[in-house]
Amino acid sequence: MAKHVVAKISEIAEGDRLIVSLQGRSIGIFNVRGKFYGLLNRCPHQGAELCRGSILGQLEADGPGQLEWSDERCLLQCPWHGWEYDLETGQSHFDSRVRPYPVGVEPGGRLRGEVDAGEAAQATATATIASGLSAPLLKEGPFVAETYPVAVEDDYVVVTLPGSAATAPPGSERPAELDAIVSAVERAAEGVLLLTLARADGEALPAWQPGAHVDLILPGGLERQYSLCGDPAETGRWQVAVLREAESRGGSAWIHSQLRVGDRLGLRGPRNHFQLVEADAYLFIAGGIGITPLVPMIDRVAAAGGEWELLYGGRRRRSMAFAERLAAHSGRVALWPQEELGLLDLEALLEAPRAGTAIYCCGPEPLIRAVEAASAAWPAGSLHVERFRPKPGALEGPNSAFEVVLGRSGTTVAVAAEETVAEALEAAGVDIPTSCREGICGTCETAVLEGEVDHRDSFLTDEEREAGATMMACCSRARSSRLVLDV
Amino acid sequence: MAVLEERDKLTGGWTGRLLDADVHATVPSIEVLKPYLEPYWLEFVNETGFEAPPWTGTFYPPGAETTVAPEWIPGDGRPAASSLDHLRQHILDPCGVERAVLNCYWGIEAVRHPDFALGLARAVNDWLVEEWLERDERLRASLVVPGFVPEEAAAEIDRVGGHPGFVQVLLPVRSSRLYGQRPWHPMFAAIERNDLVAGIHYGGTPDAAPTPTGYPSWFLEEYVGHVQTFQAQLLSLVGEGLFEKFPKLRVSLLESGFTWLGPTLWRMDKEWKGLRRDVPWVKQLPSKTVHEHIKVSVQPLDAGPPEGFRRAVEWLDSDELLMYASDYPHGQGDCISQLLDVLPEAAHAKLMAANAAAQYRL
Repeated sequence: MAKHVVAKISEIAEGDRLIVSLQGRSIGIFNVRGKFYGLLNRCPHQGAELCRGSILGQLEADGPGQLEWSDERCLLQCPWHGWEYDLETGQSHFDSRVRPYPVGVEPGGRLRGEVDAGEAAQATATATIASGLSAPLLKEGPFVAETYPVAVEDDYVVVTLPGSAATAPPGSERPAELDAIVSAVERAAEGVLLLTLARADGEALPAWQPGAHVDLILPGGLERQYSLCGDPAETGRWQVAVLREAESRGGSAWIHSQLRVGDRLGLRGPRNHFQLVEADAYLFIAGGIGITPLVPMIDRVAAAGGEWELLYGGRRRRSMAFAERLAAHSGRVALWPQEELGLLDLEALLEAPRAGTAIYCCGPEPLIRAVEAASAAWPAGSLHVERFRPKPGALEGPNSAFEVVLGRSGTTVAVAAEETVAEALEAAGVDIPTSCREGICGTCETAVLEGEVDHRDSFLTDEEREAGATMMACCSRARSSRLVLDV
Repeated sequence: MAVLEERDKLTGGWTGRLLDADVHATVPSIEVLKPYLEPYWLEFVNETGFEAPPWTGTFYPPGAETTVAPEWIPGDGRPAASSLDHLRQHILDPCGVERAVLNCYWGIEAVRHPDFALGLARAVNDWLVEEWLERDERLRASLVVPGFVPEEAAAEIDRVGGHPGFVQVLLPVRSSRLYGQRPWHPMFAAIERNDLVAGIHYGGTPDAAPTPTGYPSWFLEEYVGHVQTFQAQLLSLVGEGLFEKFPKLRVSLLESGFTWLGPTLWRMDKEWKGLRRDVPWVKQLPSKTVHEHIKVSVQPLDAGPPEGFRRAVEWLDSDELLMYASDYPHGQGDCISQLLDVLPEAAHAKLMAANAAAQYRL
């Protein structure tokens, strides 16, 4: 357990709230009539910035018209879809639950010995956030609260998180985050938006090479990766193309429905795992939105007068982004709308291995697997691929039984192969808040005192997994035969 | 042989316990009711030449198969389903029905004279007792009520609802206002108090158009479009908190079809998550409330292509929702075997008998 001092009590007035970053988590701290509450600033439903929602009284009714309003307990209402969460427990009226964090008030005299309150840092948490997604911050973030200065004579608001503050110092594990402004939103094809982004401070963006991708950090901390598809020579702006995913968990749907010119986003990167290598000739194979990283590659190879061709498959012609621009390279580009021409004929295309030719393929998993199979006879290293997502199967792995020891009581709970830690603890009468149950929402984060975790979530950073101080109890398991949890 | 084939068409080859949740009794003419009319209303009928409520022909156009299946047109010149003999000959005997719930839809809610409407309802109910319920122990029935004054409907329910043959109150789906709304509560209190089921059935008052934007031109539109009204009533019952106020209330949807129900419940659940605060008396997912209080007769079956039909049935997310019904004498065309085919074996007995038995305490 890590305790964080986030403010003097006088800094969060009654009815106000503060959103702080603690151990990489965005957390809202609320003062309701002198009592403090803490919740993860992320709605488990679709990732909205929950803690900007309205605080409402409890409203119940035993029958039609028998309204009973009370502010004994308050509800936080998500600004996106109106789901209500109990401010204290994080529970909704159904099975969605947001992570609550204990918040207490402690005198400075007691804290000084207990909490490592460092120097008065440049980024203490002193901004009060008004409710509503469009409401401005009183002070620009990030609101990092680890290093709040503590004086003996004051009382402080203290938030307790699982894990330890030292394992994940904010900002240290990730490349710097840039504040960006959306300067254009254009329709690139059916269901595809082309976003143009510039730095908010007007400075040049980092240099990049074809194949690079960046993280877009959306309100509420949702992060999505997109390939850069503009011109690397333009350092004043980046472009990404965003497909509206049919099964969006909030990222692309939010961009398509909410994002407007002038909005601010966080940007991180670029990173490049799909670099363009030197070759005698290039064979580009794109499926759908997988065209995006290939566009700057094609521009570069074409500008240098190199040999290349592109086979570009899509569901139908009007859903294929950049099709017109690419069609200008007549003779080198084959557009292949499935609706008109059926599936790509990869066997014919890749039947004869060509030495010196590099294949670059990006698209949905079935396309990549088909290209991998069809090019099996090509010289090793010919094929370069990029997948939209990590290989499926984050939740998969061998499931074996292990033991969980509850650190606070010493009780041992057996976790069977077919059940999760959260399920086993629930059966033993221990409440672990859960919501998504697939390692995405962060509600069930639990501190690990001993043992090696088999992480299967999509919430923790690589560094946090490595550190192993916390786990997602809804899906992650144990590599060791025993885990001791701070429960 | 012909009888056997007819039976198979109706019951899909099912040979176990069989309850029929919706068979019809037709008032052949005002003449049969005259013995049951109070003296003043008898004089009123004779003086005015009243023959029938003005409305029934639009719901059941004479000659349409949905009105009477060809095989059930009696050869004796009497209207279909107008006598117990017909019902026995066509349904009760050949199908081996253990119990059938008799619904007499005569369109009384189209009679604008409120006192006469009540007088007619009383006569129909007494006729049902004398001519049907007392004459065949296999029968149970819905009592009918006037459609304009809920307190008067409640009084009629209290008058006759204690008869062991009555298990339900027949409520036409098109009502002067949505059934969940508070003016109706006295009627639902009487239904609950008498341990009856509220049976919402195809048909209703001319005050309520069959679509929210008025009257369609053709019967096709009206017959298919009725599902909208069933949806509106279902939303009203749940959204108004009727089941919070009357926790023992049971409701049947009759002749409503059911393939629309899965998506509707799903959508109600979805929207409730964000809109609960508008309706704080709705304390749980609407689909759960529906599963606890409502059952649906299977006609019209709307079977469609088997794979699509299977998914629609799976989407109901319960095998305790549907009740077998022949809908006699209306010809719906689909055979119940199409539904049996897409249901797991364990659900067959529930569909054909157990669900109706639970709903109507049979």
